[in-house]
Amino acid sequence: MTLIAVVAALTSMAQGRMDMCINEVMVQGDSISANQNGKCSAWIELFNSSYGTNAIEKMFLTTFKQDYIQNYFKEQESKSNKKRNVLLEELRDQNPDKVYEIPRGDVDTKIKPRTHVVFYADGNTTAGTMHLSFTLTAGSENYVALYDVNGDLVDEVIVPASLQAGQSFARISEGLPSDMHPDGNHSFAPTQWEVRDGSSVEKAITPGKFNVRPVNENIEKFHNEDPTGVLLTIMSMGVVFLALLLLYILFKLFGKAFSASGKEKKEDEPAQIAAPSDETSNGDNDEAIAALCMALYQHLNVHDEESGVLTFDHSHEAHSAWGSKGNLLLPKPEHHENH
Amino acid sequence: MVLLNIAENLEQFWHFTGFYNVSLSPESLIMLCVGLFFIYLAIKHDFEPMLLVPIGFGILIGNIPFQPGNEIGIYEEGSVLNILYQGVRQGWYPPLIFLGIGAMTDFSALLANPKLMLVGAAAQFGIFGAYMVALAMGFMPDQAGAIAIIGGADGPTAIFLSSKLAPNLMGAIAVSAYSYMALVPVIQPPIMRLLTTKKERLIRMKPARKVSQTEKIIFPIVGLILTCMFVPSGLPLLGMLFFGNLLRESGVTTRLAKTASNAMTDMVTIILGMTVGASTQASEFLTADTVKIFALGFMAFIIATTSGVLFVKIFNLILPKHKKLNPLIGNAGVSAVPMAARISNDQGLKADPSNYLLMHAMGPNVAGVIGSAVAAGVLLGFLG
Repeated sequence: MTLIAVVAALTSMAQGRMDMCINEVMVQGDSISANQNGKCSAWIELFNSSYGTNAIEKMFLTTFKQDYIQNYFKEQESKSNKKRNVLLEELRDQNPDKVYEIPRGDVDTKIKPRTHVVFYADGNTTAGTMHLSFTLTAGSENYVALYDVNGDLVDEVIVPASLQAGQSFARISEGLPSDMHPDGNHSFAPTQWEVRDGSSVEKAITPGKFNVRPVNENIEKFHNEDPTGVLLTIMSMGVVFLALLLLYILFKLFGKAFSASGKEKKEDEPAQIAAPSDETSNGDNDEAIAALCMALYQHLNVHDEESGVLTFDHSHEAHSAWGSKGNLLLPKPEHHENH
Repeated sequence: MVLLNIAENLEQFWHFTGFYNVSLSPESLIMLCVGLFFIYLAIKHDFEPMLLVPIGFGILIGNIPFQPGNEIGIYEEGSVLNILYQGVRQGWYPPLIFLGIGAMTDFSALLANPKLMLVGAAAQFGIFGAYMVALAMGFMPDQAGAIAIIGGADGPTAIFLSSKLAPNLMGAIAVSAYSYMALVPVIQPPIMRLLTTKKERLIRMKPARKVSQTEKIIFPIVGLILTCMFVPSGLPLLGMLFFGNLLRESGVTTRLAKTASNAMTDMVTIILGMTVGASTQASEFLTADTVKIFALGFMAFIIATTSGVLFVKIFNLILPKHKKLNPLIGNAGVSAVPMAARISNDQGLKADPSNYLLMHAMGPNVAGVIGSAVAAGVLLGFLG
């Protein structure tokens, strides 16, 4: 059972849904964030912080607080063996104005890497997948939580009651898997959030867009701190040289080791040659042997006699694939030899 | 009425044709001429025909003017050319080419005389010298890095890095890299002669020892682990290079090595060259940046050749007399294989008709392939 639970948890992680987070919330919408129908409703922005596409179908958005849902789970689990996602579905059926299950089958619920999706909290589910079954209440504290397909809490946010019309409550920077839940729990960390009113670039309200304009810190760093490129050149050439220097040293050693073993073999060879053997020597003696052969040839004046007859070897049978077994066979595979 | 309809249809068709659309983008004609020039260079003068024919023809394909919106252009999502172009854009083709290069390359010249690896490393200064010049010309560090890699004289590496660091400059960088690779026989010899004395050009190098098969098998494994531990960002290129070489040297995967080095490399080269060429649409290509990139590329090749030759001269100061290197092999530190090594040989033969440097120059030449891939990995690590 434990193993199944671990596998289920790992599967959930592997699917990457834990990389989804609530990124920005607006309770009283303005014209910037009007939905497709032109209505200025409240909205909740989710962000896929991973580098893979996340399917968020069958996940839950709810305004029920974590304690309430945990108590509900405990209460129901003591009565039956129902899974948490089933319990959440039951809760949704009982409280459609508090729980919304993201439907299956909509391509818009496949969230591309490092992108955002905006849900309108207008209570108008007939308007489409991105319209939640619940609304947010202006002038009071709003709690929003995101649960995954297994009914486990992924992220939560408490939007302060002080949030004015035209203001959003946003993460100071986009959530990252590493810093989203620093302690491993899913509790809301107010220090990671701020109120935005659109008064400046830093305070911009950004539904469906990055809260902080993404910049490549490395490039900025080198641009500012190494404008001539000398530092990067020295470091890079150092790495290139070091990598190839290590290869050089290693293969120098390998070369010596292999040469030494080759010499040992050669030292063994004279003993074999000294013994009576039909095998001819090779290597350094080749030239000496050639000289001996030449001397013998000149001394004996030996010459093999040719018949002096040139002829053709006629083939009497016409071989073809129809009449010759040999021609039916596939060519022999080549034997590979490296010299 | 019927005549009127025919006239309307013909006018509509006229608007659809390239002849009409060329009047809207006359700069396409310049690019068509560039494409034709590349094909001419390849066929008439045999300048890197395997690359310049696909690229040149790709330039023709990419610059035939047409009415946008018909899903035919390379930048129109979903078009056939666009789908093929994804391999360039996402950097899929260069590692496949590297697999083929690995399967084709015999590293024994390098293993027989491993100190030549350092010559391959020194020539990579062409990349970083060009990086500094590019910064001085006002490019951002990522763009400068992408442009500077032209100095590695390695087309696939240039495409791979520019697709990651500066995709908008990739067309110009790729065409520049391949153009200068084709012009290596023109660019390098004067620099080599300028930097060496007659006496240095006459240096005879000892024949290299025979490398055992075991060494050849160990090299790609150790090479991969060592280089990629330093520069993991070079994994796509170095991983495939060493993998291809192991296929070749293991002796038990001959069929795979043959496929990687022949059929597969040919297919990828055709698609890569054609799509790179087609990506040079006049609107994207004919810019001031392109002119700067070509100037920087030229400079990068000069710096690379110079640094390779000078490094050998300096290296000779500490080498014993009987182990001195001929500085003419220094130019081969760039990874234009085997063109740069052939140039070393040609220059050596001009100085002494019996001094064959080809095999000696192959050492730094293949080290240059590794060196430029490591340099690309370093740049990607720092600027990616």
